Amino acid sequence: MLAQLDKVSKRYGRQWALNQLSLDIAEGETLLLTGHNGAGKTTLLRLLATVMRPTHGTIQIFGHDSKTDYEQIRPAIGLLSHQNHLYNQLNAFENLELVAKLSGKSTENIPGFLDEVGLPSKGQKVVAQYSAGMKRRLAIARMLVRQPKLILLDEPFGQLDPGGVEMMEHFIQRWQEDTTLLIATHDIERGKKLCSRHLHLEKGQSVCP
Amino acid sequence: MKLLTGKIIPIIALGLLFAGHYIGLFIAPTERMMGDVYRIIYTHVPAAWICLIAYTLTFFASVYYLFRNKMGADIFAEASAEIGVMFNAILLITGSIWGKPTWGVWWTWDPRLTTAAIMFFAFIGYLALRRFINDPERRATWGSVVAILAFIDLPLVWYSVKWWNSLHQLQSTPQTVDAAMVTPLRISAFAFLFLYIWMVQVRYQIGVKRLEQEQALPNPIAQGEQS
Amino acid sequence: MSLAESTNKSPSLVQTVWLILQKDLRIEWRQRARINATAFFAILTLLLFSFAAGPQAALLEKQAPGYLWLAIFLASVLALSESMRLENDNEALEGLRLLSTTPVAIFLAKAILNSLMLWSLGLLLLPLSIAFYDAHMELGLHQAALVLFLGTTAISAPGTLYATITSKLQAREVLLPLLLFPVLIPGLLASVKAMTLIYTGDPMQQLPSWLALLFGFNLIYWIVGGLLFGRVIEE
Repeated sequence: MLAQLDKVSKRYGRQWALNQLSLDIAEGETLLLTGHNGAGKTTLLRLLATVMRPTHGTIQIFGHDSKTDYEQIRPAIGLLSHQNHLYNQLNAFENLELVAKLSGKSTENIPGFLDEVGLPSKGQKVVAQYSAGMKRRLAIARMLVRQPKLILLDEPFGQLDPGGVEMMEHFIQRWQEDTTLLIATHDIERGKKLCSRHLHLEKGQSVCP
Repeated sequence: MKLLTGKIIPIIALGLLFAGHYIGLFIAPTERMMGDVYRIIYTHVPAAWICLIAYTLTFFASVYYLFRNKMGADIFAEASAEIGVMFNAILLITGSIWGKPTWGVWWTWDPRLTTAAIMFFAFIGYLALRRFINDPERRATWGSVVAILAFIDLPLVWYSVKWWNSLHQLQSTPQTVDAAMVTPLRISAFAFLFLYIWMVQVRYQIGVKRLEQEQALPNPIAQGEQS
Repeated sequence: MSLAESTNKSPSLVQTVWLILQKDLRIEWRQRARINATAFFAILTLLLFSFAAGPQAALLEKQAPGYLWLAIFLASVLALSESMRLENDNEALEGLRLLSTTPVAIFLAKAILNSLMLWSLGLLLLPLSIAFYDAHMELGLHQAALVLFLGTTAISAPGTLYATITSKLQAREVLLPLLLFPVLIPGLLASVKAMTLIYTGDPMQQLPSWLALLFGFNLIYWIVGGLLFGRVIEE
């Protein structure tokens, strides 16, 4: 098992965003995550990304406990969410260069990655001047630099033009070959087409879709 | 237990408070240099001691919280800091009242007085910060960090003010105290200690209730198995 | 599955600090209008103090070191909160955490950046304070620069910690100084005393002990700050 959640609950004040959720994620599978707003999709992804800790229960990822050994888990996790983790005052290349150097990856391929997502590699424009779709593309390129083993996508088709959606689908299919994916989306039709398993969340618990 | 915390401790505290201040105000001898003004020490000095004890306990509870993540430790840290700030205010006010007839000024930049003022603001800051953080766990963690830094800073403040003033040393408090003056001081100190214990108990229970108000039940009810 | 294949040779602590610092310097340079505004704010405060003290040349000269440090203090709140804000845009700090960057490295980079900025500000204000208040410096410039350096590093370590905490809160403008100033008072006292000796001369050889005291404060602040920063960002 790549990740195991054992009776995981997450509380925000008086709300339980996740309610004793148990889940096994096998290596190589693509899991579709659906549910209404507030059903716990984003919470689940953020817990798996180890940026948040569960209130109760345990999460094991690659055999490490997410509460204590997050430093071992994080290099292998890619999170794509509406918070794109980009520095507004750096340009595309500088953003990726920082990520590559900090995670000990080569910077040689960066122009190629930028090319793949359709961004100019020589551009001096800083991220603050980018449109939402361009930021999303740069966030995808960030993922290409990092090469994570577990990719968590929160609303991957949002903020993208039709060309961008097509590109996103292309990357998801490519990642499926050698990584494990979790895709949270409202676009159930598109999601079903791409995913091997479907998990529907309601009030922090999984129900049969 | 409930009787002890709810009734007996406050009764002991009030009894000792009355006894200590009665002996201090009416029986203890008049001080040769300062006259009757010195009698304010029966409030001033115990307040200083208990204030320091309160902040020290806040510090240890905060350290404990950072290691163990027990919400109880954080509730206690806040309770103790709040009572500490109260005693700190008493300390500053009685200090000023005492200072006017003794030194001729309301305020002097004596290391003790200055440190007392600064720790008052440091812990006011701690309590203020907590009001602006909604998530209880985040509040506990950040609060603990702030409390630890504020407490570690106290000796630094004391030393720097002492050095700062070293060229024009101001009058220090008289160190020689008559035995007849010591007894009521001790009684008052115990009175304040019991007051502190009682107030922290009550404040701790309020803190627990508040947390219950803020948070859902500790264990969510399982409504079904996952698919 | 093993993680060995996914974890490459990660950079050392010093390299990580340098990478983050480099990034911050680049960003600060691109936003230099903001730094300029902070500097002008500090200069304006220097002027305001002279209005508060009236046009008494002797009094102003005597108070010059104190006013200089108060100007740095007031400006430091602005500089500190601004330097943390760029980490909150797009949750960039979370991005750094997800790269398994050690919190100590982030703390050191941020605190060094703030030190550099405040130190430069101090070096800029020093001649201005001499000009505005008609003060004289009895000791050398290198000693003044050392005092400014130790004084501003003493602000930066707790300042970085507290700015990280308050930058996410609604009342950050008022909370940062409320938390920071009481903690900084020992550093302020020592800095003002040392600066006074620079301005008026040091016949009793007191400067070394004030510098040692400032150094000691720095040691405590930087160690405690480094230890606690991880808990602040990992909650």
